[in-house]
Amino acid sequence: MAEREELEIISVGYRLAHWLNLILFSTLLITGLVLLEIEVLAYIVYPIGAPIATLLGLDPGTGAVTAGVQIARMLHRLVGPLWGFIIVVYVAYLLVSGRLETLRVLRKPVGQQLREALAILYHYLLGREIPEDVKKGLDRHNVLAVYITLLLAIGVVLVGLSGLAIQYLDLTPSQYGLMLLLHDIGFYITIIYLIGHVFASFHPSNVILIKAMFGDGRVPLSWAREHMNAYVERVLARR
Amino acid sequence: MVKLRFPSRDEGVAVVVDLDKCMGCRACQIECQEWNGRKALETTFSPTFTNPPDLHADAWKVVFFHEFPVSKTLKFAEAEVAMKTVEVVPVPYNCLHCAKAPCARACPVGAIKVSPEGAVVIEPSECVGCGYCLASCPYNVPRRGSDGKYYKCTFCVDRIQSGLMPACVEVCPTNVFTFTSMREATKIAEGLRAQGKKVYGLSLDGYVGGRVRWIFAASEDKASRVFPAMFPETPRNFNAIRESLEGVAIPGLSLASIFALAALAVAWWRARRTNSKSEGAT
Repeated sequence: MAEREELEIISVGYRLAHWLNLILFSTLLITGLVLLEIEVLAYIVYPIGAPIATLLGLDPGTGAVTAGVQIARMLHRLVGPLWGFIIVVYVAYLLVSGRLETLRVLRKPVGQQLREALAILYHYLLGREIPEDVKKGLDRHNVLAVYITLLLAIGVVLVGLSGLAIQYLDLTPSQYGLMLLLHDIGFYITIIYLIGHVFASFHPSNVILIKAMFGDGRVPLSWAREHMNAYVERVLARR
Repeated sequence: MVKLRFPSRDEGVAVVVDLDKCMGCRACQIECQEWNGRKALETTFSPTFTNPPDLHADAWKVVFFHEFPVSKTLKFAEAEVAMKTVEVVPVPYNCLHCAKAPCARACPVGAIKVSPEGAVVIEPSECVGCGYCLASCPYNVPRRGSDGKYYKCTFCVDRIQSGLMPACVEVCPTNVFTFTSMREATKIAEGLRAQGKKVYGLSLDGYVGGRVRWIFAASEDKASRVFPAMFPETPRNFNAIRESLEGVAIPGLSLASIFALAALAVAWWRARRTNSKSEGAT
C-alpha cells in the first residue's frame, strides 16, 4: 500500500504559474527570435502577415512579412511586460508566504553542493547512480536545478529591465543600442537555462515529475523519497 | 523571403566630397528636400548657421557649419595687423552608405534594401519603426518621422537607376561632389590624398564593410578640425558587439541543443535497455 501512497509536490498555483510561463515565454521566444533572425525565420511570420497584407492591399510578398513582423513585435511588447509582471507577483508571493523552496539548497556547504551537482550531472549524462548519501540529502529542487534557476534569474532581470527601458524610456541611440545588447545577453542566458530545463524535464529519471507538472501535481511517495528525500522528510514531519 | 546582398566593395557607385570646394550655399540641402518631396522645416534660431540643427526625417542632407576661433595676421607695408576671427567650415552631410550597412543588417523586417549600385534605402512601406537602424548606425543618421517610420538619404537611387546623378550632386555650383563608380572614386580620393589632403571613408572598420560610399576629403587643417567631430575613426557601436555575440551564441546554443537532444536520446536508450534487462531477469 505504501508504494501507492502519493504526495503533492506541485501545487495548483505552481502549475498555473508554470503554464503561464510556458505560454508567455514561448510567445516571447518565437517573436523575439523572429526579430533577431528575420532572414532565417521570415517564413514563420509570412502566413500570419499574408491575410493582413491582402486585406490592406499591400504587396503580397514584402507586405506579408512586414505585417507579420509588426504583429510579432506588438505581441513581444505586450507579452513581455505582462510576463514580467506575473513573475514579479509570483516571486513576491513566494517570498512573502515563505514558500520559496528553490534557494533552500544553497544553505548547504559549497563542497556538498558541488558534489551533489556533479553526481546529478554524471547521472544525467553518463547514467551513473547517485551515491546514497547524496540521494538522502536531495531537496525539493536539486543543486543543479537551483544553479540553473539562478542563471534564469540573471537572464530574466537583464531581459526585463532592458526591455522596459527600450519600451518606456526615451533613450539616446547609444543607450538604445546598449539596452538591445543587454536584452540579447539576457536572452542567451535564458536559453542556456531553457536547454538545461528541457533536458532535465524530459530525462527518463524525471518522467513522473513532468507528468505531475502537467497532471494533478502528485507523485508516488516512493519516487519522491528517491528524488527529494530531504524534502519528503520535512513534509512528513510537518504532518 | 528576406535576403540581403551587398555589392562587393569595388562594385557600385560612390561620391567623393571635396570639402575644400564647399562654400556652404546649402543648395544641396534644399535640392535634396525638393527632389525627395520632403516638407520644409520651420527654421529656428541656433548659435550656428546649421539649420535645421541636425538631420531630420524631412532633412536627409544637412550642411553642418563648424566654427573655429582663429588668429590671422594682415600684412601691410607699414605694419602687420593681428586679429582674432572665426573660421567657418561647411560640411554637407548625409547617410554615408556604408559598404556593408549595419542598419540593413540590423533591420528586423528587411525594410532596408541595398541596391546593386550600393545605395542603402529604407523602404518606408516596410518599416515597422523599431529604431534598430538608428541604434546600429555609427554615424547616427536615420531619423524617426511623425508617422513612426525611419527616414534617411536614399542616394537618389531613383535618379541613379535612371542614369542621373543624385540631386545634391547635380545642383552643387562649386562641384564639391564627384559622383562616379566606386573604383573611380577610390582613385580620385587617393589622388587627393597624394596631394596632401586627408581622406575619410576608404579604410574603415569591418563593421561598416571597410569603407563608405560617400568619401570625404579635406585639407589637413580643415580635416583636423572637422573629421574628429563628424567621422569616427572606428565606426563601431554596441550593435557591433551584438553582432559578434550573435555570431557565437546562435551556433553555440544550437549545438548545445543538439547535444542535449542526443544526450536525452542516449539516456532513454539506456533506460529502456536497463528496464528490459531487469524484466528479463524477473
